[in-house]
Amino acid sequence: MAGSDGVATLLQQGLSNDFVMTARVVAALPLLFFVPGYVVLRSLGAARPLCYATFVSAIGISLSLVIVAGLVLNIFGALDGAGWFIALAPAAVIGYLILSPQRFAFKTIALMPAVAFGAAALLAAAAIEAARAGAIAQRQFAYTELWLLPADGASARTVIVGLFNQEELDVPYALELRSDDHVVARWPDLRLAAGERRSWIVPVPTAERRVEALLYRTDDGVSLYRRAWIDTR
Amino acid sequence: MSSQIAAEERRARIGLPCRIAHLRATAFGSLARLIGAQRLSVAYEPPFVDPHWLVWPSLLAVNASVALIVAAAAANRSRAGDEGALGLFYASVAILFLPFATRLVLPQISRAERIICLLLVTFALYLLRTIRAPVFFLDHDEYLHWTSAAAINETGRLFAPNVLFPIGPSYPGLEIVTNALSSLSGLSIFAAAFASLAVARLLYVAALFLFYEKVSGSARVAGVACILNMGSSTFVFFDTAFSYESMALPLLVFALVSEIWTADRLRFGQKRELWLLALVVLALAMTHHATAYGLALLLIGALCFTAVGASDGAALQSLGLACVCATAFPWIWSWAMGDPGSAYLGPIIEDGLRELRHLLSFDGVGRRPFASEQGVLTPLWQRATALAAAALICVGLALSFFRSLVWAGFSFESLRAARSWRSVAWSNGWLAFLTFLSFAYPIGMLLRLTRSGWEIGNRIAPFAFIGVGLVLSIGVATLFQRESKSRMRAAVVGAAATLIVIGGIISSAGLSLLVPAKYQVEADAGSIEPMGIGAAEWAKDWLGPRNRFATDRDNRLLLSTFGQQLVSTTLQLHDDAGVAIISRTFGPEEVGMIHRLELDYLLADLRITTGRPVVGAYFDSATADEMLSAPPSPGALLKFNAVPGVNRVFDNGYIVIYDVRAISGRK
Repeated sequence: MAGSDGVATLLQQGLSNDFVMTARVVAALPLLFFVPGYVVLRSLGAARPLCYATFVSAIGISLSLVIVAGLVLNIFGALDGAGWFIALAPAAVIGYLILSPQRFAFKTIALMPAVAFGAAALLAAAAIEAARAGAIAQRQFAYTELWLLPADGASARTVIVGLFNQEELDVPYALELRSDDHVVARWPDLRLAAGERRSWIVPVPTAERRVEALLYRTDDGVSLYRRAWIDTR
Repeated sequence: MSSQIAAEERRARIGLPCRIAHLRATAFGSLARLIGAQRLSVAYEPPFVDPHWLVWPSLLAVNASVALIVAAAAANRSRAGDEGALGLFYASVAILFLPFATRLVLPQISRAERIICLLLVTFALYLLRTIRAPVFFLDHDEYLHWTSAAAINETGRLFAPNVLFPIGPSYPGLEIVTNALSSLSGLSIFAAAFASLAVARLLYVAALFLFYEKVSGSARVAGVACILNMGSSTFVFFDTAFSYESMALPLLVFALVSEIWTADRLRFGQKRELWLLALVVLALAMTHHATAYGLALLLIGALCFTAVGASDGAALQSLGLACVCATAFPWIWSWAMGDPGSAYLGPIIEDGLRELRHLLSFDGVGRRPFASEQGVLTPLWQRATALAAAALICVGLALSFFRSLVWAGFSFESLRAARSWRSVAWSNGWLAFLTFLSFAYPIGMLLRLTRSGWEIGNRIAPFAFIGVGLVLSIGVATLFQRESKSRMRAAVVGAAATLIVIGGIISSAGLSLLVPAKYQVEADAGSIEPMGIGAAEWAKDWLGPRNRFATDRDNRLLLSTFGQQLVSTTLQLHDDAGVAIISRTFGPEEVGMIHRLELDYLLADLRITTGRPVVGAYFDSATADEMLSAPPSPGALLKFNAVPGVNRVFDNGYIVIYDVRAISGRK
């Protein structure tokens, strides 16, 4: 029950996050690329009726205004969401006041072209999704990452040793942490699933000079696979 | 009898020159008719309103989407190693483009349908870029701009230094727009760049249509001219990359049409639109140096042709004021930024012109066309397509040049009887100028035959094609298609336009268009892959951001973007850190270099030992690359294993990261 609640919460969060993101994108696009230019055109009396040329002008001027506005926001170090909102919100309000009394005479699109455009949009989205899937699936290398770092970033009284399996299959490893000529820690039967990442924090005797991590793959004989080391002094 | 013979001989003597003169007149007349210097058939203008104007565009949109699916399949097959993938990809471009081009050539379609068709084909071609790079940026320059954009997002300020691209932060127009969308919407830089550039691309074609329509006075000519403009080698991929010219070119075209609108308003005594024109020019000056200077040259050219021709005062006044803005703003901006353009553009232009001079004097220093730096030749069919496209453009220009001048109002027929230049000169200065601008196309082709000039030739293309598109379009409207409603004729023109577009893509992108299955050494799109990205992200997650790294060219891009690290380049400091990486021994020179460059880490990518660099350099085309006549040895890259004090902190079998802070003294 708790599990299903968790799933429901996650789904809800995911949906709400997606919804918020979509709403922000839908609001931001005209706010940046149309409204400022249209407001300027109207205020200068240069706007023709909302025709093709006016639409193009509004986009071109909006782009130019945003670029110049960026220069102004830079003075205040405010090239962030709040800065842009404050800069563009007046344009949005004025734009609303200008645009709201107008009755746009949107012509109804006939059914056939509407269906065809819808189908085209779906097919285009499918094409991009197919390309995305292909790009994500492409792996030119199968590999394992091994790393060894001082845990506190400097002195290495304790070290972090980590592994990341990108071999695209479950791999059995043996990991050994040696300090000078003796073993500090050993993981003889380590199995990481594909895509699994693990790390350990291991204390090291202070007198030792060098700590070395040795990784073996145990599925094709026991051969040294990766090495990393740090000086502890 | 003898007098009869003498008379015949006399007639023959007189008649021969007459016949020759007649033949000559006929030949010249035919030639003049062919090249269009004599008379011009007026192109048929379509009806303005068509109640079914969305039917064909909607069907063509479905066809374009099917073509995009084919393109996606080709991209995926290329990633899987299928050698036929590139052919399939170009076939998808043809499937996408040909029906739109054919439809737009037809004289009987309405203006609204032309506009919607143009916007649809533009967006569909733009999506090809996304299909090529759907998950992360692929091209070298995109990473340079990503670094700048990320710095703005992080600090909330412009002009943060970018060691990979010192001039970039001085021209932040593209990054500002991306930052605005990213900040307001919450999108990543990659997604915000995609959306911003889509708007910019649509603005480019939408404004270009209006510009052509104003200049030619014909929606039909404008529509065909826009389609032919897409044959520019940079249109489909180069000018849609996340790079400053991709934002600057739409602003340039919008400035051109704004100038004409300003002239129209000035005829009614209204000067308010001048402010808008100035605003656009200022934004362009902030976005890209070369495009801003290009606008100034275009406006000066148009001003000269308008002044020479028979024109009205408003056109001259508008052009004059636009020229002042377009010349002053880029200069002032460059001066305010510390003149970064001279150091950046100067050497490129000087090298290109020097190589062109050598090429014209047959000194043999030119670039081998259709061959990569490694000497790999583009397949024959691609070479043939690109050459056929170039030949088609040249023939088209030859047949259309005089027609375009006649369209501009130039009168060849009254040339002999003319008392003054103005009585025969063009009445349309813009069109006459664009007609002569088309000469930039063959000049750009010549520059492409040089190593340094290739860059200039490629960058000239979008400017040249502003003229080429219009001139060819006038040729189509007055010579080939004319009033004919024949779909077959339109399809022939559409096929020619498709050939020109595919030829343009081949001559710009060549072999590096699609992502290959196998890693390639220093190939930008062929080298940027998940393992390298993973190493860069590991550096960010485990070492923290802003450590000083030295590594090769492509790993530098990944470290500075995915890894948020500071990387060493010769653009920032004159020491070439590549020398320390590739030298076979580790001695005082290497120690001194690491110390001087204050390096924290070195990333050694053993994959660079497997081949020559595809783009011609492992590092910065400086000292390290000059030392390498063959790939560096693995032993050289791994020499740090034996250096006391150097920690080997990361190893994935191909990439090793060394901590050299003990040597640089930064520990």
